[in-house]
Amino acid sequence: MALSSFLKCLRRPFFWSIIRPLVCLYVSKERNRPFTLWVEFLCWIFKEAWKREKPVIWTNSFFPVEFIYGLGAIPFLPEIFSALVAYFDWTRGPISKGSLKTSTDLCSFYRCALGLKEYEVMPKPDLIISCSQICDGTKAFYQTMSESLGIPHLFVDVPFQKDENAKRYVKSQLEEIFHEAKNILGLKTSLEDLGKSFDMAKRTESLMREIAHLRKSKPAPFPGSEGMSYVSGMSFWALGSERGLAFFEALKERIEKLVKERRGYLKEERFRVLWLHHIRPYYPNPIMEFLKKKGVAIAYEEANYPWWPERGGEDPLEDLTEKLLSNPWYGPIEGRLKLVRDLVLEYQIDGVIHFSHWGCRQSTGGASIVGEMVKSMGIPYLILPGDGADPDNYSPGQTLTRLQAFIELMERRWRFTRG
Amino acid sequence: MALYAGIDVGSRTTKALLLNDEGEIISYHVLFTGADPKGASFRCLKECLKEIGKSLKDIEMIVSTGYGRKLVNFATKEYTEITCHARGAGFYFPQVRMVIDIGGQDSKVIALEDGMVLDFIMNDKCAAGTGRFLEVMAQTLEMSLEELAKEASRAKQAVPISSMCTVFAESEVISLIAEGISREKIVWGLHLAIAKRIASMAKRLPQGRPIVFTGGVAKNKGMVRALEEVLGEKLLVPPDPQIVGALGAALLARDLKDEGNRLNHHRTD
Amino acid sequence: MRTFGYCCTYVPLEIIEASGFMPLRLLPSSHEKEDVLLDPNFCPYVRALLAYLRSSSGIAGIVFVNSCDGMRRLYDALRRFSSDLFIYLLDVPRKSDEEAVKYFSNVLRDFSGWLEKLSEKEVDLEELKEKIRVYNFRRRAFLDLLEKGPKMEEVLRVLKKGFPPDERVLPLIPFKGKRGRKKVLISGSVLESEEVVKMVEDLGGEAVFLDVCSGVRGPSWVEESGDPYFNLARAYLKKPPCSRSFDPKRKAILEKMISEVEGVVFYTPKFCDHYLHELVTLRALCQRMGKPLLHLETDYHPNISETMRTRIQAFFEKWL
Repeated sequence: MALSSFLKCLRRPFFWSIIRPLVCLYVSKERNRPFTLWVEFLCWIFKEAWKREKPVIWTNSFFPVEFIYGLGAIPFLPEIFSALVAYFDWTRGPISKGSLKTSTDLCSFYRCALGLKEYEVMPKPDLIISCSQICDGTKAFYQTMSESLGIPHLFVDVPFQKDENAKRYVKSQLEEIFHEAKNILGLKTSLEDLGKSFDMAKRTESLMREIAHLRKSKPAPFPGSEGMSYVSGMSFWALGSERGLAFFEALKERIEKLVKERRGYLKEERFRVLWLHHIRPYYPNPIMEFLKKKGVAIAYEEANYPWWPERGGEDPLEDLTEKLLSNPWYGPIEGRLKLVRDLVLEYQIDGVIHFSHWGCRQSTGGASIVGEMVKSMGIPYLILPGDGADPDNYSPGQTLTRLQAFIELMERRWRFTRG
Repeated sequence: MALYAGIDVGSRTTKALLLNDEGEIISYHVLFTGADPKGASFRCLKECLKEIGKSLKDIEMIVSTGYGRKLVNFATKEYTEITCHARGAGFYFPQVRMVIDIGGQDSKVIALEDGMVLDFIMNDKCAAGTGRFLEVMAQTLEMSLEELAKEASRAKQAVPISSMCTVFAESEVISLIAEGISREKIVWGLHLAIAKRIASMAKRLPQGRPIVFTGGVAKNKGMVRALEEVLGEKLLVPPDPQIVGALGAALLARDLKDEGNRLNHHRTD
Repeated sequence: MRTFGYCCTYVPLEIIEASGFMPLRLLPSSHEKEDVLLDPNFCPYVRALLAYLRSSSGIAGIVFVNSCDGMRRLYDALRRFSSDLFIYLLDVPRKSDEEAVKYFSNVLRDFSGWLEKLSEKEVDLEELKEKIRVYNFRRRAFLDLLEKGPKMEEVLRVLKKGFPPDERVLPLIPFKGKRGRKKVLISGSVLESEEVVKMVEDLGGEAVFLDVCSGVRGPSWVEESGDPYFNLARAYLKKPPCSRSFDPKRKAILEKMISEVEGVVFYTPKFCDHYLHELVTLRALCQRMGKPLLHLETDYHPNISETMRTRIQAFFEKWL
């Protein structure tokens, strides 16, 4: 009874208008401006999505969201929404509903989203636009949603290869999708409008690149745990919007200040660790506090690797094609190996933790291969099995024991090699 | 004399061990953990002290390890079983490059070099490949653990056990008994199944030799034989493999004192 | 003659043969599965393949398709840790429209060029067209046979070697008797053993459709005149799609098949993302159409277990 009333509130744009200043006031006490901007962004997105003055388009994390803003629509990302629900520790119900429809072997973010659909807490889309990156689950999930919601689904099939043939194929699909989307939604967007949104995205990407560079400093100025949560969230959801730009400007300012003052986010930084896989467990758990307590800084994370190429083309769709084709996690594993190698060297990493999320074949399947490379560089490597969204698939004792053993390993290793 | 204590609080058994200043084992004790790990660890330590007529105040440093290590609130420090088993194995065999530890409820493989842990794999999610597996099977076959071990140490033939899971393996064993397959073949098949699981864990780590086998299950000569057959080489087994974790913890306790001394020395400079 | 392994019905075998290699469908029958380079919680078919390919498999090379995350990681693992085999990844589009066909025909040309370098024999266009004709003949013969109601377990046994089967084996396939059993659709990904089909048929079912990767999902005809690469691309992309494809035809075909049977057996290896997602839609479809559904998950074990027999038996006893 209480639940359904609460859910009803969430569907009203009015609720988000009221909530926004209250929550932001509360959050701003932390004096973390980027975080406040994130919360404000979310409230704005939910308000706009439920207001339905502009079309709502569901999309997946790796589809360039600036395309959606460029169309003049409001993007909604069920995958990120699942992570938010996990943050509030509300995923048990949806995951259990979602698992009934399929199997518990699937990624919990998708099972959560499948279940959330039953609660009607995600604004119904007018259209679904997604791409095949970076896993099978994303393509299949949106197909299922399109089927069960009865909503058209426009899909970009990104090929494995990256040659001229591939460019032609991708660009032709983007052209088709642009026209189809306009037809279906009755929009009059021009390529110029798209271009404006893409320019905003590129400016934001530049800032992200600068931030990535700033985070190389020692001690680590910014916690990876936050990098993997709201920073990554903004990069998926807000790229191409003014709020996205403002967020990264604020983040850069904050980190610049810390770097200038040579302040790390840890009182004593004993080890610098690189976190692999785009996610971490989002429900309340002691992992991040534990690492902090032991002086282990998550200096950087794979999730925020600035992978987009510099591009300044005249043709926005050609630009977008290049961006899609340069995703390092899609294609042969050499792309991922190169980025891990670069990150380990540039961020002066003492140890690498690969978070193996249950149900994630694309990432976990490569964990051993990445591990062989990291170990050949003489860097300790830990595979940490876990679940990003399902707290029932998480065992604190086992997880902390592995982390502690890894820290002890680093203590003895680096003590003897550093003297 | 100064004493250093190591306490390994496992989910089934708790082990405590005392070392002297020269790093010699003075006494040790093993008892069942039961429902009160903290109480068990305290009692276990007291038993060790009683044996040599000493008291708590004679102990300089205490290190706890094992699943219940955080509950030992009277310990100076706690280390994981990984670090402790590596250290303990090195006491008996300084050249050790790999440790296989099979306990009551978990198993692990540790790769080492020059006494330092390089990498490790833990199996704490599944009973298959642990002492529990053998207990369940012993019950199903209506044998004691000792009889099981004896049968395995001299068996000549095995029947392959295909189930990955303890529960399914149990059903499989029941069917095999019903089919009239000999106990010898079943027992040996079970031991080989565990050995294969351990071997596949070990394969994922840097392949150093020699291998030391620790943990309560290492007392089972049949298991030693099965592992040696599957891995294709001889294993080194410490005199009392069950206390290697506690020994490693005690050695680390002694190391802490050395570090303390070095720090003191540095300060007076 | 040197053999080239393949795992997916989207690979145009005509090209492999025209290059002078013998295509070999890879369905290893041993129990060995790789668990060092790949996590044990990973597609068992892929793990069985890796174990097989790392041992002396006797094949000269293998052509993979980017069909799923499992196959992609297999492609990566094999390349990094094994050097003797020649490995090609055939980039098959998920769509089947004209742009995709254009893309795929260029990919096929590239594949052919790569095979040419290996075999040091040029792929003659006429020879390729001839292969297409031979395959068309076999396809026609096989599809004609299917109309007459052959025993599906025998069909699967023959198809394990590849589609379309050599026409000479077709007369050896017996027909099923008229036994008024419950018609079922067997749908899923890799069905490694005809024992499963036999079990379904022994326990009360009649397998009418084999919508599986190792089944009849091949093209029925390839155009014989014009550019063979374009024709192959077109025919293979427009063939009955599997769950990986982004093609509305898939649902329509499933719906049609379900309407003609009385129950559905969904057969997947564990951890198969494409099919586990499709299960959501399939369940809804079966519920709407009032057809019972049995989901069998396998560990890619050539010996079919007792638990599977129990499930199938219970399905027929309870639902039909």
